[in-house]
Amino acid sequence: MTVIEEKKANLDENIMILTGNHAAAHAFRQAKVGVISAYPITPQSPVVEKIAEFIAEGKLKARFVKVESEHSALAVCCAASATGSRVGTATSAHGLELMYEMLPWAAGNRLPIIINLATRSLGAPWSVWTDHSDFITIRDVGWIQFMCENNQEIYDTNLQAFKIAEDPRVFLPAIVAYDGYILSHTMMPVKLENQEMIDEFLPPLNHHINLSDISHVKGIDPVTTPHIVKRAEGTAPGYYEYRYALQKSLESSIDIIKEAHDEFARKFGRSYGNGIFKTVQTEDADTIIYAMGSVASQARVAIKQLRAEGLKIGIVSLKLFRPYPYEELREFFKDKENIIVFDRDIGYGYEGVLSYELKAALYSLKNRPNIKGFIVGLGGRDVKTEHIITGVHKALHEFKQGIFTNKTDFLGLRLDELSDYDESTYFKRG
Amino acid sequence: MTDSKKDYQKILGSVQKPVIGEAGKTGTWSSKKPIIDLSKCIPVKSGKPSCFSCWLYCPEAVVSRTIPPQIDLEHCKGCGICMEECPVKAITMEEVKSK
Repeated sequence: MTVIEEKKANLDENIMILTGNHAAAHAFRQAKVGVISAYPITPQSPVVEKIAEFIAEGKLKARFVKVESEHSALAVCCAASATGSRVGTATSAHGLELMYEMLPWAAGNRLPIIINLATRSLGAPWSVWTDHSDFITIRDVGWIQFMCENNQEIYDTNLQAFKIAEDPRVFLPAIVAYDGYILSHTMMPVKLENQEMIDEFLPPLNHHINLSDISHVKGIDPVTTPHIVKRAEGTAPGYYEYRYALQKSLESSIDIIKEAHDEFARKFGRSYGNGIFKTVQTEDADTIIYAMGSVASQARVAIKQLRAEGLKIGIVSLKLFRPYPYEELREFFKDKENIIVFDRDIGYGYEGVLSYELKAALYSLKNRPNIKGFIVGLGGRDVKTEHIITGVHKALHEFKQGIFTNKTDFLGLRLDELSDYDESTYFKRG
Repeated sequence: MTDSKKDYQKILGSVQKPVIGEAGKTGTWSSKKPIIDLSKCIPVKSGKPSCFSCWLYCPEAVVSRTIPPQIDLEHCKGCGICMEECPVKAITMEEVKSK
């Protein structure tokens, strides 16, 4: 065997140069996912293309179910998960929106399905570039939601996500998101881990339901009434009790998410803050930039310049978006003076979602920090270091003057180049 | 582990064994009920297990696969699909008189 052949034979325990999408696919391969069902959509498609390759090459023993839409893809995933199999898929933007109808079913049936989301803005207008609009639209259906900042984190978070989702104290679906193109199509070194160690970390799924077990026939999803149900087999919960259990399991999953993150760190030597959020130079900081994914990455560059100006500034990069870690955030921010939030999303009709959720979470603090939110980078508009710096300066200036508002403030708009544009006359010229 | 389970950890997905009338006496929902004219019904006429389109198409599984076919009117919602599917038009829908 030549050295190259040897390397090819043993994909694992190697540092490979991978795109974010392929890092996710390798995580699925090493998690030994049993059923994958997906529909292609930019910028996610390479995830499932790679998985299909792994299956064709015999590197992953799984069933790949081809379907006609994302709605069907998640429907297949739900059914497959209910037979006790480890299940996952990947999607983006309108693909996720088409899955939306199935999302609460997966959560309500407590099926530990993993979706990889290469984030992409929502139309109209038609765009294939990143922002977090798709990611935030599913925040109220009962899924665990992670956001990643680099390709290694995508790989690691996928492995942790299966462990968390399948924990008998949790049994919830989870979504692992990363910025489209910025991570999905950008190559970085990714360390793939030893298969035996992954098998130790992630034992086979011991599901609470197995519809393929014919000797113990169970149906899922009977009509579940507002009242407690009396059946031949005994007394069963009503809808209200199921939803109570879903919410309480989400709330308590934060501890299990930390647990899984710490176990992963001990085993593989990589950690991401406390597993909930990552901090950069926050120890001595009184001013904090709060952001997610690609925006937090850009802020890592910006704080070097801001620190050189003499500002005591750091970053909190949110990794766990749902369940919302309000206690951890409250504890972290209780002594901070200023928070500047950069949202690559808008809760349309209000403001950036990270911004208003943080304001609400910190309401109970005795000394509430000043908070201002900015909108950045919708539809893949570059988020530049100078935008972050401008934002920080503007926010600190407004705090000094006592200006606090929920009105959105957009950074990086180029309206100055559009002084001639008016849609009503646009097609009449020349 | 089992003993230390929290109350919400004992409640997962909503499950059941298949039983007749899980959603109650759905027959009370109907405004019409199916009547089979046995002189036209294929299995009755031939005396052999045959046709059974009403049994096959009934979305509520209230028609039996017997000669003659029996309809469980306690749970029949009166949708009329059996009438639609019967190849010899042996089934008619009759108005249910409200009490």
